[in-house]
Amino acid sequence: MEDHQIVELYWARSERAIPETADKYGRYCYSIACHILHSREDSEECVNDTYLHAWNAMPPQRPDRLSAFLGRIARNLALNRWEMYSAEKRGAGQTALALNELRECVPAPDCTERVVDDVALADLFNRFLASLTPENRRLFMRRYWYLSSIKEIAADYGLSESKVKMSLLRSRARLKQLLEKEGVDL
Amino acid sequence: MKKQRILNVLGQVDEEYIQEAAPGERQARKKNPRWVKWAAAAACLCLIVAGMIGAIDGVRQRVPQEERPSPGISQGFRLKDAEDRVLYSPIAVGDATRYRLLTDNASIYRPTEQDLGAFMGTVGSSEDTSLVGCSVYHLARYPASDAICVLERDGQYSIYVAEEEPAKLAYDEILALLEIVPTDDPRFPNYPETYGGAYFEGEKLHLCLTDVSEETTNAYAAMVSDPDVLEYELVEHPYNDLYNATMLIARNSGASFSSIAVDVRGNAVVVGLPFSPDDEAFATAQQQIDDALAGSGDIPVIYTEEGQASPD
Repeated sequence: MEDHQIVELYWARSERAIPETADKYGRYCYSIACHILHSREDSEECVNDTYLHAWNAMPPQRPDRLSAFLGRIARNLALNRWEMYSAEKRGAGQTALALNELRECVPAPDCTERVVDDVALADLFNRFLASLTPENRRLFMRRYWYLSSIKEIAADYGLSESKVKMSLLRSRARLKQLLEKEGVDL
Repeated sequence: MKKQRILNVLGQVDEEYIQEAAPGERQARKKNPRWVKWAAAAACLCLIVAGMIGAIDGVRQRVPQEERPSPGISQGFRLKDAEDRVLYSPIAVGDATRYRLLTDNASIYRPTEQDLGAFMGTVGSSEDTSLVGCSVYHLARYPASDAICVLERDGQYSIYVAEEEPAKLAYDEILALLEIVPTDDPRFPNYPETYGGAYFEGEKLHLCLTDVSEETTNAYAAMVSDPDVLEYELVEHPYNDLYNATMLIARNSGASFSSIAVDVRGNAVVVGLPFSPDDEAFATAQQQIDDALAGSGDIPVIYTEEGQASPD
């Protein structure tokens, strides 16, 4: 099924939207979550949550690129879960889990400056990505967006691991340079 | 936290870039022919690049030889258009143990659709002709490994593993028992001081050691299932020092270079410079690199002329 047809199913509130999404993008979302969480069970839960979030987001949203839209949700959910587990290890334990659950009930604190900063920062990242060659950009995104291992990236692109690392090293240096030039303090 | 913020905000970049880099969007997959690539490398210059040596996937345990599938077992297959022509065979109990795919009642885990990772290719040849054309996927729990995969036939899924050569197996066993961390772990490289690198030649694994006393070689031999595949060579510099030198050059020299690698056979670092040796820039880069390495021992550096530096 074409992406726009799946989006129409969401807009029509048809429950068929979920299995169609799962069929086409389930594996993609699972792969993203699994790279972050390294756990089958957690990744599967993340993918299911992704469908729920997509259901809640469409309408009003009508994404142009459904794969990236779903991938982004899956990645955010997986990162949140990962942060939660990291906090647990530091001893925050159930508090972090509970706060996380409550977070969905309480409106986020209105922190406009941070939001503006994030938007500006995302814009800066877009300009940074646009400045890279297509290959270097793909390598950067595979590593830091998809959280793929160097080994996996090297295999997928037919490059040596040292070449991948060198490309990432240079891209990171360029990003640092850009952040400094623009006076961005993270 | 700052790193975390970059990771989080990066999530908001243009969808165009997300889609462009999606694993499924890559161009014609160029599979990483590990064994063939390494053997070829050994045949010419044997540059085992710095990162490759530390790449370990999955959990490895020692596996008795007799449990491994025998070569040429029927119903194996090779992937279509794969450069390395690896033969994949149905998973045996030994492999299942190694990959932690044994169920509680000691039978081999049966995969479902949920276990499918990224698409690897289709079956190109097999003694069982009904397998030809079937889809092959990575196993989701080992997304980076080409050594294990899932074959889909008529909605049924089966796990296959790549035939491993004894030398390759020995290398994997040594890395596993030394508990070498992946290259992106800050503790890398954590090889013992006696380890100077390794390369494949013919059917042998050549271990380069800074100490080839009986005590040391016996210690390495004890790590592998088949010590006969090991050959020992005495070298001067530990691999850790060579690898750290490549990092020092990359981070501190400021020199323009095309590539940096550890030359395991030469027990040296090889730097490719994008200039002719007659060019003044060649000598300048050499000087910058020598300066960066000053005070870090006498690591030999071999300079070669190698194309242009990549745009970034």
